[in-house]
Amino acid sequence: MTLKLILFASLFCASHSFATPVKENQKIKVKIDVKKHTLANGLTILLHEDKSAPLVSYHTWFRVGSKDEEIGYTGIAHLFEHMMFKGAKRYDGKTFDRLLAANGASHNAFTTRDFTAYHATLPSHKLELIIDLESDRMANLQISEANLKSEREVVKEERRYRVEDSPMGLLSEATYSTVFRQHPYRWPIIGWMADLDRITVEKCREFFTKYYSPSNAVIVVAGDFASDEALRLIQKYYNGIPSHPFVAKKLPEEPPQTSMRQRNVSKQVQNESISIAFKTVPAGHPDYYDLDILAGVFGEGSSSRLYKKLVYDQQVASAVGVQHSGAMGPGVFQVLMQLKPGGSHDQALQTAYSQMWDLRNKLVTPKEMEKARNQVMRNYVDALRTVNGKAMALAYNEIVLGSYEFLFKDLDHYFNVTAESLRKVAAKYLNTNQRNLIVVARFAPTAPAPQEPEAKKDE
Amino acid sequence: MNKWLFVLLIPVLFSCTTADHKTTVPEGVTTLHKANPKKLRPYSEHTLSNGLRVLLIKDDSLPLIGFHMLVKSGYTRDQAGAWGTSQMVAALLEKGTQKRNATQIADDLAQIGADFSAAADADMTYLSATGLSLHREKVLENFVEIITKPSFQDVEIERLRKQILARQTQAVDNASQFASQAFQEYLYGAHPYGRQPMGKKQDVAKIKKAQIIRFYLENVRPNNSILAVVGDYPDQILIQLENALKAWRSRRVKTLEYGKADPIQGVKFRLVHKADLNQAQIRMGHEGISRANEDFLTLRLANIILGQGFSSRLVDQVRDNLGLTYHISSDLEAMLNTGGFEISTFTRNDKASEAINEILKVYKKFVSEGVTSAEVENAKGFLQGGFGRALETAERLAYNLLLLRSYGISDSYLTDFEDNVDRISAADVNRVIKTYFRPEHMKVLVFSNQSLVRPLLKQWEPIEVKSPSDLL
Repeated sequence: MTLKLILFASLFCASHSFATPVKENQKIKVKIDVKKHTLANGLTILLHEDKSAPLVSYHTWFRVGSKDEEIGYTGIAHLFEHMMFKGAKRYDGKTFDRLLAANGASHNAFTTRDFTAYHATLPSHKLELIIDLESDRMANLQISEANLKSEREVVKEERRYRVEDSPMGLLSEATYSTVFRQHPYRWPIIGWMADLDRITVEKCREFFTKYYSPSNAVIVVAGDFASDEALRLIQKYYNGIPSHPFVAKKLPEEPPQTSMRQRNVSKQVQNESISIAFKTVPAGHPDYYDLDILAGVFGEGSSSRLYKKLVYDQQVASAVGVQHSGAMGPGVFQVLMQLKPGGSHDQALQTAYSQMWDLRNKLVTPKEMEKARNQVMRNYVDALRTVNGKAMALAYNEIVLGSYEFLFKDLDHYFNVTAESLRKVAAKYLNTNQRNLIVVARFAPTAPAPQEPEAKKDE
Repeated sequence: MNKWLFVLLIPVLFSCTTADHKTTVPEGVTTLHKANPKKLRPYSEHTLSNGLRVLLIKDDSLPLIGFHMLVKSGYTRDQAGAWGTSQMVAALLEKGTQKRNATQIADDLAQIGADFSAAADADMTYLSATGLSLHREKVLENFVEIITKPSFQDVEIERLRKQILARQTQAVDNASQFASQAFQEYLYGAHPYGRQPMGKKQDVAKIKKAQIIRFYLENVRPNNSILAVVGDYPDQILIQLENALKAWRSRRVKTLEYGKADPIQGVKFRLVHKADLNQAQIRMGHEGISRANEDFLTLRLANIILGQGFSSRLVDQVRDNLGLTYHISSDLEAMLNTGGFEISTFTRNDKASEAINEILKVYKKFVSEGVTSAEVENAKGFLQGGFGRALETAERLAYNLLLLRSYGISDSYLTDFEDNVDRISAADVNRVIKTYFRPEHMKVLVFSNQSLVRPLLKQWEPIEVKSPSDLL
């Protein structure tokens, strides 16, 4: 019952900037009215009325993710997310699913390194139903041995599907475990297989008590409802849920990386997949917006630098992309290249490194900056097309950045990026000593792994 | 195969929409009707002087504009020995026009925050450009040039040919997608719906430029297409379209009839072998119905009970009770001439046989015992409650209206949806279950490691074993 959220930040990032001041008539304006409340038990509530369709999107996000797990119990945040669908006091798991289905709700959940989100979109006259269901499991989750036993197997199947039989899943997992050596971002959100077997009912109950307190949650409601009525209903169902004192543990800091790292993952694949990754900064950091813009200029779409070189001109790769993750902890700037079967490893790396050299040493052109501005605006608007998209955007900003209001400041941050600031940020983060190279390919056990070539002008 | 078919087709009450009453209609353009149905957003429909039907759906809540065109020809029109032509035509449109090359087009679109997408499906090809309404004239200009003035340059054809051949090889590593693709071919056999959208390698390697141009000229025509303009468009949009598209001429388009696929007798089993898979991808199913079949809606209700959503019978037993999988669903694929019914899941290799047997148990019981009134009422709620979401945005309404037109189905499917669902009884659902679901006559495909899985499947012998390369 989960879609692991991987690229949320790309809703707000993955784009570009400009060097010259932006004229007001070249900017878009999107207004979203939000009312914020906090209950006595610490539960945060954001309400956004949108009457354009008779729908309501109801999100409950908890400030707990895989970063909060203990060694030996990786994957518990995500497995626990599955357990949240197995029943509470008023509604057992099957009734929960049946009621939502019988009312046409689209509902699901996902776990990230930083947070866990539960969401449903349903007809607006069913608002009280979802409040009733969600408050029941926040207050009274029931966890049984039988449910844990079957759900553990479900999650193991999910891991086989998303990671073990997926070259891109393997690449992503190996990227994070290479970039991070101390920080909890180093282990996979879905957890290691052996750890999944170790998680007990008692561990799940501890996890629930510790992290699923109303004071550690944010509810966002977007759609066709009256705020006063929604607040009254939320108070009715949630006021009685006690809050547990919670002190977030201090996470170990990831020490600076001082030399290149390389990791090879062997899989019987038809082609080589490569990730070149760099540790960066948390979402909202002053350099964060530049890194997003760099990702866009470098690798967003068929007009990007990397696509033109590797896919179009050299025809070495079948797909390329550059992404920058937006997390509460350090971000990851990742260059992804899917080579064609037989495509040259050396040529792909030399081209990518050479382009990174350009980003560190040359200014992005005014035309690229203008393109960046338009693509930022397009991505921003695309994320807000539905009530679910709006709720997600508000929840993400409230949880990751500390306030939903950051959503309305995003465009200005991106518009303040200049060609010069891009060059400085590229030089600061995308340099050789901080580089991680991860390759998924057919590596013969005795054969030497491919060596990392250097672009001529790179050193 | 046809991703648009699964867009939920359901109605909704929109309380706050803007009627499109300001649009200027120029000479030469015929207005078919303006609809302001109480359950849908307002829309109007026109025919340009070149024969192109145009739907206008206004929505200025966000600064976006989209041009979405459905061409009523897909890969079923590829010639024998040239499967994959339609997909190449779609992909080549933005790779060069009489005025600009591929890079210039990519740059010009990105420069204004716009994009173009094109994909050929079995019965139709979908061409779409979306961008910020800040640059609406440029989005239109790009869309029109790309669809009406493609140059199909040799260098781009060769580049694309290599790209497709590479992707076909790589497809094997996406186990779920490859299994679904392989099952389509297995299920439909020699019927045109059994073709691979990207074609076979041997065909793609030799498709000629003349075949590409011919497909384009014979199919991408105004009288064979429907355009939906969605979003924040100007009042002069019809004048702009008429001027921009008047040189694009209609042409007679052949009518094709395929009929049904060959019937399946008994349970047939195919195993596609890949040594490094940890899971067995399982697909099983049989022929279904065409979209125009009058039992479509009733059959959808039946299928919801069997395999849609988190409370279906298949999810309840195979995932929730037994923990055998992360995902299981049953899907109806109703297309122009016929359709398919498919159950799909995956499980670890040593559980493949158990999963197949459990699925069959659930499926056979579903057919032999039928469903209850309570289940039917819940399924109705599932459909009716999901209606608002299915048409939440103007773009989603456009998809639905385009699809209905391509299948020759009235818009009353949307406007009367809730009433029509209400009228369906449990007896109706049980009748279609008996009529269309056939657990005794199915095809089963497993994509996995043969040496681990085949010994567990002895009861299904003789099993036909294939290598992925046989299917490319």
